[in-house]
Amino acid sequence: MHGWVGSLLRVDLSQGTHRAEALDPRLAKDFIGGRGLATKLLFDEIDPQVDAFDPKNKLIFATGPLTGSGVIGGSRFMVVTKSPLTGGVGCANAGGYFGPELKFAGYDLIIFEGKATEPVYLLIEDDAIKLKPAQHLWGKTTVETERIIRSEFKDARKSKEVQICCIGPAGERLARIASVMHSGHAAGRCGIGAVMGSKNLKAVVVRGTNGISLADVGGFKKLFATFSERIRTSPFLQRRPLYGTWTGISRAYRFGVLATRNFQEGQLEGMDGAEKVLRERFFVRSHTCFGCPFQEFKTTRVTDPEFQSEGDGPEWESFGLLGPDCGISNFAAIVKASHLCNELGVDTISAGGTIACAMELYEKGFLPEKDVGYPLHFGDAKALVDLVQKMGLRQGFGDVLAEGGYRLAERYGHPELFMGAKRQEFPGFHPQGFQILALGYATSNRGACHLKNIAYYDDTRFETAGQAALAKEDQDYIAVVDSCGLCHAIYVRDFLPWREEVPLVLEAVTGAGYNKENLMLAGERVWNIERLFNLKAGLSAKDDSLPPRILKEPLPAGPSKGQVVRLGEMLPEYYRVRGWDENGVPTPEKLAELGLTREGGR
Amino acid sequence: MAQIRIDRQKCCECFLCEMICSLQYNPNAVNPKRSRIGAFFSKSDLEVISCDRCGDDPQCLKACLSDALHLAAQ
Repeated sequence: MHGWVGSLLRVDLSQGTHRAEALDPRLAKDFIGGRGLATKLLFDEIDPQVDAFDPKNKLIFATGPLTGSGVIGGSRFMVVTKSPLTGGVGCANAGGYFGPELKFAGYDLIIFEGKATEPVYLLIEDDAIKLKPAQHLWGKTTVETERIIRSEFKDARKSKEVQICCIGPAGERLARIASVMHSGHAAGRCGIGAVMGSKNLKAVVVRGTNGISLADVGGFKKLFATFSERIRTSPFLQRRPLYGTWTGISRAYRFGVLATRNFQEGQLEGMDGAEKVLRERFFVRSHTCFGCPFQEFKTTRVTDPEFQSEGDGPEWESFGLLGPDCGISNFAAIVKASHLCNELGVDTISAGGTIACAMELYEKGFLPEKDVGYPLHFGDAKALVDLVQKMGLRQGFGDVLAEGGYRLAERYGHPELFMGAKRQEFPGFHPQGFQILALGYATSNRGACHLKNIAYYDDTRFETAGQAALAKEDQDYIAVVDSCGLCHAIYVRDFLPWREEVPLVLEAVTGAGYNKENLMLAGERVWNIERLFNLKAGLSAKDDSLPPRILKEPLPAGPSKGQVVRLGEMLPEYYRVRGWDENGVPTPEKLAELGLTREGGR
Repeated sequence: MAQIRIDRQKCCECFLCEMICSLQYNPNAVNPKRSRIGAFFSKSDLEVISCDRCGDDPQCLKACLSDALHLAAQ
């Protein structure tokens, strides 16, 4: 095969065994790879109703055919499993160097089954595979874990070249908002880190020395030159190394969609120009991912005595939830809290959303002070850092927070104060300022997500007409991007002709017979297999919903003042353009069109 | 003869140069570990393994979007 390396590694943690299996080329073509192929395999191999922490659940690390294949921005790997947070399909992805290295070792995917009796980590050096004891790593932060594993290689070159994914204490302790970390890059959402912890799997370590075959090198090189030239002349290449994703904070502020105080407001004072403050006060250096010149990622350092720390991030969404959503404008505390999340292996977005929910529960008198140990008001920077720490370690009140915002709000009798969808916390854009994003949050298969739809910064943002068809098209295209192993930061830009060119480069790399039509259909297939998984897991149309606040309480001020989400005007139309019935179930005709008739069978 | 040099300050370790280089010498396969230049591992300068500068049209220089590579007289 070209593009795909043609092999998956199956690891039975209960038995301590492993074997390589050939990838089915037909399945690979139909579901592309990454998010799509992994979800299809999960759908086929587990009962969607199984408890996420049951050893029968499987944990899949998946690359796409463009991961590591020389395509600019082809760095991503996806982790797919049943989510302990949403109860549906869980997936999260990250860049860095892990995905390409896994392919150089000769595997498109790893499927972890069962549960190890003692903590272990998996070491892959091409076809030499070992499960190694990880008792000495258990309890260690993600940063420490990487450092120790690297130090155990005697060969200096290997020590630098191995790529590592691991969980922190949060994943070990089954925090439902635990992430998987790779050198500061987070596959954060859906609690995938907790599934890894439930399997007693601390880390995956990989080094590979093989190549990835390309079908049409001449065609590939031409496209490479086109992409290079476009990126070289793009204003993003100038700006991204400077601020990374931080400009998103100012932009959200200026449009009045910066989620503030548990989504009660859309702006927090002091946030316009936040990227400049972050750059001046905390920036240490930029770094990047395999095959990408954008250098989006920032290493930061806090020198304020109260919040001293150093680490990677925060990205803007992390900043938004840990900061403004908690009413906090103390930059040092926000940066420190983000570092802590990464070290402990907690998803920054869910952590911020959960603490914001706790703050509102407290201020409304539903959460007693004795449970927290101190008064918990919006804007309390010290409390933020304290609670993130406790959440990651499941200490004290942190044990409750580690279950995520939905379970927190329900425990205190007010589930309506949880701001999220399908039990997963919202990201940083307030959905009331973008009808299309709101529809995306409600319908995203992995729960509320900022990476399934595109925010269009124009006059259409308050309109509902026509949003359903656009939302569907964007969701299907993004499913293609995620399944190929490409990065959103480059390929999800509505004003560039990527949608014409991604099929071309995928075809040059794989030679599998892709064109724009069948690739977009594959994206739609991916979206629908996720939907089928969720339906079989017990989710239904009632889960395509948003909190009453978002639907009924207008934003009080700012450029999006007065807006509520008119989901009822969009959802029936969305089901219709998706080819689903009024209950959100794909019709037999749609399933036949996508080749999913067997999967859709009851 | 001119040699390919790397500016460590500018290199962002994206591997684009190594990927393109490996394609020159390993027909049809991307494999940074078979690249004839090694930008990632070496600390101070570029690690070069029998590089012929692609007949004085170095593909790695073209691939680098960070302007980290240049030709320097030996």
